[in-house]
Amino acid sequence: MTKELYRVRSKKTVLSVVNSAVSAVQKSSTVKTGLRLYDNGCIGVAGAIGAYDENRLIDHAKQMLTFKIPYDCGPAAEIKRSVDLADSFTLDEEDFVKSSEELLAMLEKRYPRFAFSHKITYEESETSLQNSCGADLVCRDKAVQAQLLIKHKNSKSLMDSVGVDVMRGFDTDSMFKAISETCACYEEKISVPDRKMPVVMLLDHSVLHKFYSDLNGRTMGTGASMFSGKLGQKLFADHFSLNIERFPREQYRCFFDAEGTVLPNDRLSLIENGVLKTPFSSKKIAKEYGFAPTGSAGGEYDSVPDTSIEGLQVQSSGKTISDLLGGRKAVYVVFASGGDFTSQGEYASPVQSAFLFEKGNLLGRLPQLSISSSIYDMFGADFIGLSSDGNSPHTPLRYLAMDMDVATIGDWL
Amino acid sequence: MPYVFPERLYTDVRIEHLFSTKIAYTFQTLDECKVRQYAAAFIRVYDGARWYYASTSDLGAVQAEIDALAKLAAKNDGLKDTRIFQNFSANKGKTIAFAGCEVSNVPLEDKISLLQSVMPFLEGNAHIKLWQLFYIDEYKVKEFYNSKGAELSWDYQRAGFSAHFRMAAEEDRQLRESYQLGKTRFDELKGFEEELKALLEECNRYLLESEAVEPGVYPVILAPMVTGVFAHECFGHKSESDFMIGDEETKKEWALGKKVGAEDLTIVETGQELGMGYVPFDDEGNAATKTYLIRNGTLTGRLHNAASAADLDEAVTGNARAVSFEFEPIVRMTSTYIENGAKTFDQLIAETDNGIYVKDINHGSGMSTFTLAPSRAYTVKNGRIDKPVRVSVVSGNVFEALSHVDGIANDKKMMSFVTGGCGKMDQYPLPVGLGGPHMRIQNMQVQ
Repeated sequence: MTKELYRVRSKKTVLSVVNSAVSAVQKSSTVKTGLRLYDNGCIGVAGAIGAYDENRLIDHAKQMLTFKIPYDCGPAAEIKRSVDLADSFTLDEEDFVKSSEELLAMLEKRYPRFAFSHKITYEESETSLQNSCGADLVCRDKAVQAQLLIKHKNSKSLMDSVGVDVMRGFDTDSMFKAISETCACYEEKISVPDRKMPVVMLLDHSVLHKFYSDLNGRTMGTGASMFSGKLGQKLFADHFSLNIERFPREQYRCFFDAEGTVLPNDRLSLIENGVLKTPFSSKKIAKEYGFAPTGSAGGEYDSVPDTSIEGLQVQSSGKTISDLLGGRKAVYVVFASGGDFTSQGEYASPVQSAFLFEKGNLLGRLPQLSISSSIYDMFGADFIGLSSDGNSPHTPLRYLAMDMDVATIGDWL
Repeated sequence: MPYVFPERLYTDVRIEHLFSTKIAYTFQTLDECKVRQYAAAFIRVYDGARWYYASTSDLGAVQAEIDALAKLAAKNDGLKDTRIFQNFSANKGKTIAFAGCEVSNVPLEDKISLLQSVMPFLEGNAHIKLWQLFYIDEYKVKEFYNSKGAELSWDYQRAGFSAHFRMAAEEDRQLRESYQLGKTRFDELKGFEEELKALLEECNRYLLESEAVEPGVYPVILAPMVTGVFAHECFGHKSESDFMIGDEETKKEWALGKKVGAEDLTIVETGQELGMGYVPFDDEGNAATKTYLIRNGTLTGRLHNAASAADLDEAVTGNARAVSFEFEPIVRMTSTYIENGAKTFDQLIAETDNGIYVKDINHGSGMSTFTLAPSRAYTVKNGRIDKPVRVSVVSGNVFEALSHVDGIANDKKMMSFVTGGCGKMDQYPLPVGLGGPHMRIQNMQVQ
């Protein structure tokens, strides 16, 4: 019998922000532990939040083993690696609160007609996996993340834009710039004619949802995917590649998955230069359907690991967004909530907040739009690329660009 | 009172005792069988200017957490005179609705047997390429104590299963659909067989016969479940008044007394009724109320926690909810529904020359433009349901859609989802109830 501990620690201070001021300070420190037992091709899992009695957890996991959940791919073995990015800067909680208040004061002073709300978080995290087969994996990190919803005080909407920045440290100027990028041009109303044109997304890559559902190893393996039976085929543009990427430093991601799989160079290609190579799979699903495991196991701390979308990433073009667009104007989508694909891959979505983007600058606010296309066009003939630059020097967010049909469906709000 | 609360501050403690089960099958293979149990607490201290929060899974450390938070706060002699302080609960009592039928006392084997009884309906269907079954239950006892003297405990329970399936046929035809049955007691999870069989037969036809919709603007008739999602997404989130704190424009836009919909449109929100959204007391200890958000087409109410009620000078409504012990309570819906109108479903169809009937959806969302993503939809031609059509998304403007409702049937149903739930910011998934009758809305964008 193999015993494995999968543990997620988090220590954080969260500032709630209402109307550009800190309204609450939350401190928390949690440890969530999953104890897994592997025996005779089966797995039993027991979980605990906080302190626990290991013997009781083992008894619970043994009880779950009696239900004979099949898991015959074996736990991670003889692998050791530790990545520690938590010591890359020092910031005590008092300074974090003070810096956040300074940031909010700067935003309020420069943009008094806007209200900034939601959260600024300072979190130290550690994910670890150790087992009796010699696996010992630890990934530690520490970062500040600001995620502020922006509302113009004359707007009827609940929110008009969002500003996000993530960094190791607290660079107030960078945060100010990244968060307020849509404020300066908000009052400039611009329209675009209904036509096919470049659409750029930074925060919301929901156009990838079809890959989330249909490139899953289980969906592919059972023949239920629109990509089933198409392995090895050239389905998309030459310059479109889709990977599993687990770069801790650049992407703030854990380098191993919930089964302890570590990818060579922390990257694996699912679609390479338009050719469908393999679906994303946990070890269990990969073995069941004859695919390669892709380091794609996820799940809650006390779950049996299952295939997840974590790490799914369009490969960077290596070009900035300005170079990718080559001077063409583009629709920069801030919110496109509620869109979806049909089962055949046709896509449509309303766009609740968008700005006109040209040569790296936002020119003005667009009215209510809809965008539409299909999966094979968006990542085929109409695919432009993923930029090498983002909205700040620190954030892992990148601009995804493609041509889509754009139509106006309502006024500016 | 188990705790010593600091003076000249407001303090509350919410303790959550949780039992939950999750069982999952893919085909006839067991993927997951999980029982989770914990007790944990969320502590809040308020000094009149700022809140201080902590959460802990060590119930023995609650007093120490209170004391530590109190050191961060500034003592306030005038706190008791503030409107927000007056809105905090001083309720006492025990409200236990599920004694003797707790899902924690149902053997795991019975829960597994329930899922196994669903399998024969999915096995052998030539079009189903993948099916998965999920059983989920949750029994929660909450305790609440505060410095105004509130001492409360109450319970909450839900149980249900979900059958997810993906169908495929020639010409790249695909369909993703699910059947869900959610109740508050395990022994109520029965009598689903005919409904599930009928759904599978309809899905077989829909898979083979559906065509791409002709995009355009149509009158759209919503099935009761879809009406419920519409009420929740299109209007319910706008009635959560924490968005209005300090926002004069939004207060003006959603002023009570404003006419926003048809004369027979009434939207109700309540945590009092047993179901997914049963919340006898909210996470600030205030009792559930029944709030008419819209009555006969006129805005008549909105949802509050203590802070938003103080800001808008209105009464608390028992809608402060947190998704778990790790989060602060914010203004959330409980059960939201549209009340019956005077028409029948047949009348709504018969009155429609060229429209779309949305029978089920994969998801919905609500911002300035709300959306419904149909999983099954049909054209309506010359007063009859005509052909199955594939629709990516139905959308409309939240400021206009309520006034475009022009027909409400008299066949209200309440729905209970087993998987998923309501999301707001980082708090997801929160169980909610929703429902309504068949309803027709004009001028909807269909793509």
